[in-house]
Amino acid sequence: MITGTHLARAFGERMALSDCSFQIDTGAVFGLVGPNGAGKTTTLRILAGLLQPTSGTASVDGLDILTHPQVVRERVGWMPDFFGVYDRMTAREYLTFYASCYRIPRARIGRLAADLMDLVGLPDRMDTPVEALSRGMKQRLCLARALIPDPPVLLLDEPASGLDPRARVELRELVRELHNMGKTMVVSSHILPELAEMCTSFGFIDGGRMVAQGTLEELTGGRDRSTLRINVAGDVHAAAVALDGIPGVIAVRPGDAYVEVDVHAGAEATSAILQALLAAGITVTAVNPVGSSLEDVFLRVTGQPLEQTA
Amino acid sequence: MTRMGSLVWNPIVAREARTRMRSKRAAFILFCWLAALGVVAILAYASAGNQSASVTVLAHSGVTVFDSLVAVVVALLLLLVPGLVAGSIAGERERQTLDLLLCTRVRPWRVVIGKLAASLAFMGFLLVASLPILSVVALLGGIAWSDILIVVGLGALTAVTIGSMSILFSAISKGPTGAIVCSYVAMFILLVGPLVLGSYLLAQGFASGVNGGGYSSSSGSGLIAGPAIVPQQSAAPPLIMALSPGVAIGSEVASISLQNCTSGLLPNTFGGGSFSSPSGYNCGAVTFDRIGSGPLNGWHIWQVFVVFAIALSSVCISLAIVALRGRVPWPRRALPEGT
Repeated sequence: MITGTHLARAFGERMALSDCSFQIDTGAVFGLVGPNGAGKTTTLRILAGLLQPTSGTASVDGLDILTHPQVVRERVGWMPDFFGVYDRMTAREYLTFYASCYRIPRARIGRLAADLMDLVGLPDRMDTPVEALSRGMKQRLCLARALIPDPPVLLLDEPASGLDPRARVELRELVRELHNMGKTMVVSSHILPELAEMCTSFGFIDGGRMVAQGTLEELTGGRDRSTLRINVAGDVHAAAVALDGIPGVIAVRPGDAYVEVDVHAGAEATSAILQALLAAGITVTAVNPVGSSLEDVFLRVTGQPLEQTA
Repeated sequence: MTRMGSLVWNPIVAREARTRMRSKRAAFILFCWLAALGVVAILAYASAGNQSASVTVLAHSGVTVFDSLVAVVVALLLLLVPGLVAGSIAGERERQTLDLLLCTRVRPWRVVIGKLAASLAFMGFLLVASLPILSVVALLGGIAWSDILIVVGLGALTAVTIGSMSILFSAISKGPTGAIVCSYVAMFILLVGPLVLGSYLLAQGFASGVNGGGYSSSSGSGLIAGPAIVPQQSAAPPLIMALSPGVAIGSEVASISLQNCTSGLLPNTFGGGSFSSPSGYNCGAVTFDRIGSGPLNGWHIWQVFVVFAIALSSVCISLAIVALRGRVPWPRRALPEGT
């Protein structure tokens, strides 16, 4: 389990993090969502034992980062948002070097490097110079490096940044595989769709504060209530009247060529709404859920969309 | 891993050496180094004058070649060491690999020592590569092996000292460029500063009439000199001047030449035999190689420099380790490495 308790970190006059608290369950893939400058990297660097918080504390895998920072550093797999590779080395030599730095016995290093390269999908790139690897391959090589001490916790800072769509898919699959291996992961990003597909829980960070945290269901307000936007061809007020009083409908708000309907979740309410509109002779052109995506939740809790804050 | 093995364990040295030797720059430096030494050795030998088969004349040539090679080696050392060392830790910071390194079980002191050792090992490699050229001196004779060892040792210590200063700037600078510039400036100050300050104090001493008084020396000065006649003065100027590696090495080289000249004998490095000084050999100008007064009375200039260089290197390396330790949090009580 990873916990942060009232974490704060100042850089000079600027507060990069202020009163940031969170809790991440063991085995979770936690998406740390926030715009650039929100405090994501600061949070991850504190958890990695690389940065001392100005106040507050955190624990990683049961170890307090203030009292055991070096042990935390050694037991956490830290993958920053840059590659961190050396030129004039092959991938094998790169991993061998870091394995030596972790004091892995020499007899085990060769096998370990091969296994890690296999895990990250680069088994045939062992003797390729690091500088000759593509961006996505370098990213995966760095992930292999982070996995050298077999850490129970992985901290991935913007892992998909700058990757092409194919490399992103491969990274997502890799994260899933590591999740299946039981690793607890914290993945930061300001690109929500990629997080939505790989994370089991999320934390929204903005202005140095954790403004919301939970699973997607928890963040979207639970499963018993949702909002539908129904585009209609015709009089929207007539549509609103037709929907009034239908079982499962909580509220109806006419808009410009659409009506927004708050309903109790479930196929029955949606079905009843469509039937009522058809019976009233109103043509429905589209039905879309509103406010259930990560983007919408972020908009709701921070008051502005992620793109604008980024 | 044994206790000794654990102490010397440092994967950074091997990685640095491997990647450095793969660079084109390393080959270029090696080529330039050997070319410079070769050209200087040939020119010095040619300029030594009489090229007869006389052993004493050859020995005189040996001294000339030795002096020239030492000057070139020291100059190249001074030129190369800051550039090689100063970029090491600062380069890791710029590449953003320093944090990754500090996340491992490599402690900051190993990073500092590893980076310094790897860079100095490259200088050692250059020295080894130049042995065939340096052996010319041994072939010609005129210089005792012990003298060669002292001068080589002083050169190595100079490299360590300037390397230590450079590693400190590397540890505290944000980027390699700043670290390299600061290192060259510091090297220049170390090289010239004591000489200028010592000379100034010496001049002041003469002007004001202040002198150490009561110091006994063969020349009646603050320095024990060969044929030199230096007025009596305070012990401070020569002590300050001795802090410059240029003065330390220069005084030793000059002393070697002067010894051979004034004794009229030129020891042969092969057989240990003695030969008469060649006629027409000019014993040269004023020189000194010992402190002639004060608490370090009788010390060789190079001995003073050795003590100073070791102290300065230790301070610089310690500060570099402290600077690197400050980059990441540490518990109040450090845990053992095996934890």
